[in-house]
Amino acid sequence: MPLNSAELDAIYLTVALASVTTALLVLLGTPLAWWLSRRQGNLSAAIEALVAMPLILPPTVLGFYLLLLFAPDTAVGRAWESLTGSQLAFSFSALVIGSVIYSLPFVVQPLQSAFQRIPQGLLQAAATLGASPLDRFRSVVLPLTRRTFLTAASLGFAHTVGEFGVVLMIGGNIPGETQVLSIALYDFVETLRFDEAHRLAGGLVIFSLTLLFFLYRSSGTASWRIRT
Amino acid sequence: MSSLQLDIQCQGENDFTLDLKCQLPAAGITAIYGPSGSGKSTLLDCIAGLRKPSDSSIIRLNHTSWQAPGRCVPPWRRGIGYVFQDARLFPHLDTLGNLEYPLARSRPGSVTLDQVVNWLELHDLLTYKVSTLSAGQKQRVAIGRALLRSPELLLLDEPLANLDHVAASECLRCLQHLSANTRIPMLYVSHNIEEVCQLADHLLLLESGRAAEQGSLLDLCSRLDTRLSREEQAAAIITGTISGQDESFGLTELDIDGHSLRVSQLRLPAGQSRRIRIPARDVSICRERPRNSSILNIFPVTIEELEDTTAPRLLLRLSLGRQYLLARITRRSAVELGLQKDDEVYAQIKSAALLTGPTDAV
Amino acid sequence: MRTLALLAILLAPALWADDTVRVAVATNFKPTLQHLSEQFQSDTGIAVTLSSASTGVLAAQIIHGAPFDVFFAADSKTPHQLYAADNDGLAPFCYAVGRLALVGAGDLSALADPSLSLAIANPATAPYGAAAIEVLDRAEFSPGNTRKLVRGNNAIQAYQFWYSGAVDLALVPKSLAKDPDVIDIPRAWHAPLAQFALIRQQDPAVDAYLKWIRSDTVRDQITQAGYESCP
Repeated sequence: MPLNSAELDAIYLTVALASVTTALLVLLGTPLAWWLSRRQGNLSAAIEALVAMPLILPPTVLGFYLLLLFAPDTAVGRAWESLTGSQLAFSFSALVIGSVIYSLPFVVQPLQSAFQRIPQGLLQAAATLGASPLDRFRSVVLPLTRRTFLTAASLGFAHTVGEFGVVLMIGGNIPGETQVLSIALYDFVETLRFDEAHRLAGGLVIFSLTLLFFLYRSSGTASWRIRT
Repeated sequence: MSSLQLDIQCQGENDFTLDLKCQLPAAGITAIYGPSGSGKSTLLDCIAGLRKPSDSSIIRLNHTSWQAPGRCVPPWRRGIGYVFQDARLFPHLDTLGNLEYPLARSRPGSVTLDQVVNWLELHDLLTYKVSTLSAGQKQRVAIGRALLRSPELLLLDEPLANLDHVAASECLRCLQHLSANTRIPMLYVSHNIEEVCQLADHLLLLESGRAAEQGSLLDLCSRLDTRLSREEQAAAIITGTISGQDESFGLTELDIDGHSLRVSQLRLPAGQSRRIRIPARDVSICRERPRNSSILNIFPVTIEELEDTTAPRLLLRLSLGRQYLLARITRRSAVELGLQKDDEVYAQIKSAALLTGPTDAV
Repeated sequence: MRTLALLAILLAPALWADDTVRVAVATNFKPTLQHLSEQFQSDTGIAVTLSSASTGVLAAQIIHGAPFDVFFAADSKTPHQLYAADNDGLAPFCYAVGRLALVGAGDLSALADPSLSLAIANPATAPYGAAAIEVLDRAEFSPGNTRKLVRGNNAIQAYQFWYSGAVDLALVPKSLAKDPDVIDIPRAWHAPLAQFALIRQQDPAVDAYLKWIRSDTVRDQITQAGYESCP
């Protein structure tokens, strides 16, 4: 059965959202995870708590606050409009921002864990051998935590694909722009279009299983690799 | 004259404060010796830049200032190499990878990869994964890696502490070899006086975070007023030249300022200089030259100094030509023999005491 | 003894069940019905539970066995479809006629302005959304077709999007629009929003409830809430 354009749109949109979100999360999450892994004290504890919030708060809480935050009549909405010329509310960008916040702990926590397990002594040795902090990160930390990056990125990607509550509140269900797979699926069920619902849901299950299978099977079994 | 100038105040853990001001020679091997907790590692970390001392501290090697009020050069910009007690090789690189790590990060220097591989006998280990190396092998690679930074100063923090006797001897031999081959000055931290005696030219004694004494090894070892002398293994160090071999009895003769010292066989060519460590407890005194004694090494000495103490045993500083010996005898004997300064007596040294390791450098 | 008490507690709701009226109501009518049902409850002591979602969603739930006694839909088609499939009980009856309204603008020409974002209910599941689409399809509003069109999950979410300031305009049931600046959409522009109710279960409590809903006083209140009376 060929997929119709609504389904294709939803799939494309979901993949795009998950990819952009994952890329942003790895870029932003890595320095954050590193900073958290090397610090202790009230400030880092507070930031850790903030990062972990999406794990326990209902997605609707985040959705509610983002809905208010992105409205065109707020400072954020206005700033966005003046910078980009288009509205932030109900846009793909809004979904990206929401997804980044929502999937943040899934990327930051495994990375932080892995970074914490790198012995400080190893980094000191690297420093005495001429490596600056960035160099140390690239030449010592990254090779030792490659597997964790893969895990973190996969978790972030998969979690974003599965996002529903936040998108329901701030997406506006616009086909081609914010109607992601989970919303499209919800729509199909609501309107009793079970065939299409089956296709989408089944497809998602197969995708997730395949992703996880390759993740667990992948190379990087050397004993010294730090993995979560 | 190259020197390392230190004026360091550093707060450590558990209320420990390092507070020392001294100038060390930046040539040869300087040992930093002291009991555990005296601040040796803290000192090394400050010099390396791994630990930040107080703002008013000064660390300066020759004309380069690494630490001054308002200025602290980070470790990767200091010309130091550091050999840690636990090697700290990078697990994701093989031996060659570890050795090449500093090469990519330093200007081409006086030390090349080939030299290091030769000096430390690493030819067979180059492709090995770090996890497969023995402790001794790891430490040799670590030394090589630190050397390949072509540092202006090599720091070693008890590098032999985690090694078994055989591996330790191996590494010790390598270090002596290195000291002769490169011009790189070394700061060697240890709590093992025998290691120190084998390697060091200069000695800094640390006690509770303060510099107790410093000076040349030979000099400090034979003094009565340092902490060294109060230790059970107090020993003097004398230098002799190989003057002959006694094959039939497995002995070697060394010339010490005209006197002849016999030790267990050393397979070294004649004319080569050698350091001998003579523990004070193995030296006894007699007023007259003993006859028919089993002890081979008996020398006429002059009493330079007697330790002023009420303890059961006291230490004597004896001069043998231009060198010095230490002898530890009971106070009762000293009194009974009526020993005094400037007395000319005979010192007997038990040969068994002259344990000399497989070293071949001065 | 303990098992008996446990059984009694578990069965009690089932015993009381006959005295509760379970109602499914389309979102646009919910605020009004809530208010009315509270009156009924205090007058008669019969409990009324309200479940609310868009018409399509509730229909889907009913098809799959949701135990509602009465279903107040937002259109005519859905209750009749359900009735045709079941043919049980009484035929659906009209309880109100809805009006579509525009909020957020001074006059209807705003619907031709592509720079103004607009929220409507999901046309696939909410009759008011379908009606809104009919309005937007009109020739005089075609310049506005490139606007940002946001679909709320149901009529209330469409209103909420406007209320929270996230969109400029919203086409919503008049009964939901509390804002004084409300413009009625001419009836002729869309299929009539005759709202029908379907009776699924009949018992004394339900009968009393329905009789009361159809009474004149209640009809007046419904009209005041922004609806019109059935033809």
